[in-house]
Amino acid sequence: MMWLWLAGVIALASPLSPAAEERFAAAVEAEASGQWAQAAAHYGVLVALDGSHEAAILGLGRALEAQGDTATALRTYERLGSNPKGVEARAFLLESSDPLRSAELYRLQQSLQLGDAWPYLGEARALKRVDPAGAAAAIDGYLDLVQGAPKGSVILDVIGELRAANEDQLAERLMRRVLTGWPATDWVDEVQARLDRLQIERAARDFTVAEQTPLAPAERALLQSARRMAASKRDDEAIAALSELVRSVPSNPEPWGALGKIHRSRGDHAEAEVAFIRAISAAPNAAEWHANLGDLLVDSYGGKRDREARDAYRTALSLRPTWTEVAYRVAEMERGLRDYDAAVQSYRTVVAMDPSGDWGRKAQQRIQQLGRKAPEISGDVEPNRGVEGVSAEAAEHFRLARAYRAEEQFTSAIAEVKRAVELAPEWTGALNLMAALEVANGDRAAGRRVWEASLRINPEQPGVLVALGELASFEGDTAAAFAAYTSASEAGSVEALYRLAEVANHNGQTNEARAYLTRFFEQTAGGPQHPPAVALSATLEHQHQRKQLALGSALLGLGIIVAVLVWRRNRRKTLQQLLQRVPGAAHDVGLVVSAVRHELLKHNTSLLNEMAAALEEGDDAAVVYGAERLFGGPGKESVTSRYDAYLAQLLMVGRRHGMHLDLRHGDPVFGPISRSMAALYRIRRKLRVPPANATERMGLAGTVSAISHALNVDAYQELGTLLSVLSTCELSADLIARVDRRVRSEPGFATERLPKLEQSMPDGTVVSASRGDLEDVLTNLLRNALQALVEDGSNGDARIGLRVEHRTDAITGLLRADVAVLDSAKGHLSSTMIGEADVGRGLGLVRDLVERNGGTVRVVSEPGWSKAVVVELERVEGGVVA
Amino acid sequence: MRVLIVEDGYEYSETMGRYLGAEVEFGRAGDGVDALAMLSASSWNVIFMDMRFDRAQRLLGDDGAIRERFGGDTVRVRRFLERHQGAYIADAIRAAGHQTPILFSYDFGRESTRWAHLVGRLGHVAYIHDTAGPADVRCALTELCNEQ
Repeated sequence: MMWLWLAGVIALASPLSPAAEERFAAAVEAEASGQWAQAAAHYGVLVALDGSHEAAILGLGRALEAQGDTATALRTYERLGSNPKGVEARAFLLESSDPLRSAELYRLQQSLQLGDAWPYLGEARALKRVDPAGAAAAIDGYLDLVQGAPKGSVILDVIGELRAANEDQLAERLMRRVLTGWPATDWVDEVQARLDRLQIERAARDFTVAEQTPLAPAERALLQSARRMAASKRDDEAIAALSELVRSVPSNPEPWGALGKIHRSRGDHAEAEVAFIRAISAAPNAAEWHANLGDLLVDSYGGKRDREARDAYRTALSLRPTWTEVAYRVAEMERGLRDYDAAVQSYRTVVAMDPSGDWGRKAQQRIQQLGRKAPEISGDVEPNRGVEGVSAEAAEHFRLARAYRAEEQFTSAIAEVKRAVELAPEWTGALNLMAALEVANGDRAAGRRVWEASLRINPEQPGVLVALGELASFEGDTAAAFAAYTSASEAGSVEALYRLAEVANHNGQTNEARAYLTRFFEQTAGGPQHPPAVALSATLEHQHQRKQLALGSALLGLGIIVAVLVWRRNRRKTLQQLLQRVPGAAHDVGLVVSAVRHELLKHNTSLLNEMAAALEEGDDAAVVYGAERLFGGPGKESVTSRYDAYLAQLLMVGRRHGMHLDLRHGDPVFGPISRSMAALYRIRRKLRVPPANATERMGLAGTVSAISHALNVDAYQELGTLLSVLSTCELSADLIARVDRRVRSEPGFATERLPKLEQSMPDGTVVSASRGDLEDVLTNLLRNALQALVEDGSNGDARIGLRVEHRTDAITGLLRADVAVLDSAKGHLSSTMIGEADVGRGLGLVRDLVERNGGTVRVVSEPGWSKAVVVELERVEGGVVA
Repeated sequence: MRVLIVEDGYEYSETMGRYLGAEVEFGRAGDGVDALAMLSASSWNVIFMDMRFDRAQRLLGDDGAIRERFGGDTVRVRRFLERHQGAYIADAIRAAGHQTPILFSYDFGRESTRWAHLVGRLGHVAYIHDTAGPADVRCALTELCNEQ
């Protein structure tokens, strides 16, 4: 029994064991369906068995967090040490409760993931309340690195906090940077409005006398008179009187405030805003004008300036902390801005201020609506996507429904989404949410009906078809499930292929299941990251092997089994065969090969010689230290398991191109490395606790030395040679002539009279680029130049040339090759255009390919030519590029 | 022998500290700025220089010329500087007037032209091959130090 139990545990503990994969798939599924306790249990088992299982640790942390156990979640994430994902999870978890520690963790993440913009945004989010200037610095870091349009909400919050902290210069600099750098983002209007307001306030401050001037009796009488005029709808007269008054006593807030109120009632928002700001400038510590400004911003800008309004209310409340109505408005604004944690806190403040009054009752209701824990709405909700005319009210009900669902309060969620559907009956997004909620609440029939209704409105919804398939599958109706998944697959769902594989496997159709799964892996780059699919693949492979073996033994006995095994082995391919068949795979393969060579061999196994010497000399501490480096401790991956992971990546590269690679046994490069890694793994325990017996030690030293030679000398050289093949190419006259011939034979040029390619290049130009990429780059550049000449209608003066020049980088000593394609056609092309996203004529591809190989592209003017497109690539002397 | 290790991580410092014995005194600089400061503050017999610095926050060499070369793409500029930061730091060390010998942890074995260029520019330098173990490093450091 003990042996059986042990075997089970070992099977489960192995990262590749089907049992562990199955449990992981179950954990992922439980988490996806919001069954947190179940997910935590599954992840917990995996973590207990393998303390370094990153995905399981993160999943366990998430599941604990979702159940409100933040302390244990934090301890769980801490198991990952300085793993970037673990650091990010801890930072996110601590944002509210310990912002300074959170910011510190985000800074660590910035170091761990250099070049990634998100950690800077996280740091800003953590610091915005406690250190607005620090948050602004983090935003700068974010803006330096962000690709595409930056996310606005945090930036706007930081601007608001800077203003509240009187850091106007920092706020202005940040706003100007956003306005200059990203003028087309959808939240830039709000930035512009805030900048305008800052400038108005500044102008007002400059204009206003520092000391507030009291009104003389005659002026106060005029103010009262103006107020009466306004009350009796004589607005023009009131404005005239107040305008006179503000001219004579500009530093008194009351006429400005009265003027602002009249403008606001007439709908003159801009004038009202200026007047309120002037009132605030005259009396910055008077809560009333801040609150008035908040009301104006809320009512007049349709939500676009709600953050500013919230800030104005917060200022008003800080100046008059007993003002319950404003406290309630702060809470309402926070709720509207989806800052639910803050909103609940603010509502609680209102309840404490007015426990038995109207405001307190309203606040209490809001707290109940939002639930004990603040619901979170994911930022990607686009409630009116694809549907015209979805009202704000419907969208609000939709958001609330999602928030309730996140809290697993399905009845409330269904009630909210039904209101959304009543208001927008054609809105498929709401219908789909309603269906999912019905199913989650146990009414599968209702869910199916609603999904079917959604499909009648828009049949092109592969996700809904997959959901219907899942429902049918759950109910045991595999035929209906199969039909739904097939439709989903036809509608473009890649996920449906995995589901089809599941159904086929369930029906015992192993070959069909494998075929679906192969299609799934071919069609999605994320396939290898899909744990259930990987698990199913392993199961199918296992079943397939068993079938083959059973069939062989039943029919022809042992001889046939051997034949089958040989056939299977031969059917698998080497890396070299993959590269011959799919040259485009060179780049992906090169990345992995380079990582194995640099990370595993150079930085780890190079210690082996030293360990062998230490064994011979009896220096146990040195051996144990080396073993720690190679095999790690708790939470640290060993060099052999990292090698396994790299091999798995190569297998996936092969699989994406429809080839089964045999790297461990049949591959001339990776076979020997795999054997050495396996040998290293076998002696790991002896290295951790070196034997006391001298003969045994010497034997172990010899083994370590042999492994060291195999890895650090033989394998290192082999991988270097492979890298050389993968990532370098000779730019020869033959290659250029071949590309030139190929381009000229294209249909667009075949009948044209085109000038001969003028060439000038030194011998021996080997560049750091794969052959396929280099040929594609030259093809596109020559095609562009020829096309330009054809369009230009140039006559006998037309010229096209290719020139290669060698250069040396002064500081690094790197050798470079400038490959210039020149032509005489008119037409404008610049380096800036090359860098633009929509550059046409294949130049975008050229740019991408060149950059992928570490080079640059620019356009220069050239005497005697119209233009030259110059591709700069690294030049390689002897072969290997590290 | 006092050796200043310039590396963005702690791998070399830890390994050498463990294997090279008590006769060598080590200091560590995490980037070029620290290295220049440590060279100004104290005397070192030899510098052990890593080449790739992808974990350092501060990188030397981020000037207008390199930004122009990469079309203003700061991400690519950073990637390039990370990959060759050792050369930039070495250049800055010489520019600051320090003639301390430098041992590069980078295999220039197949790049003889490049290496000749760097020797011409940096003077007293050497390199170790990629899979050199601590004993090889000790030997190379001693040799470089004795050549002074």
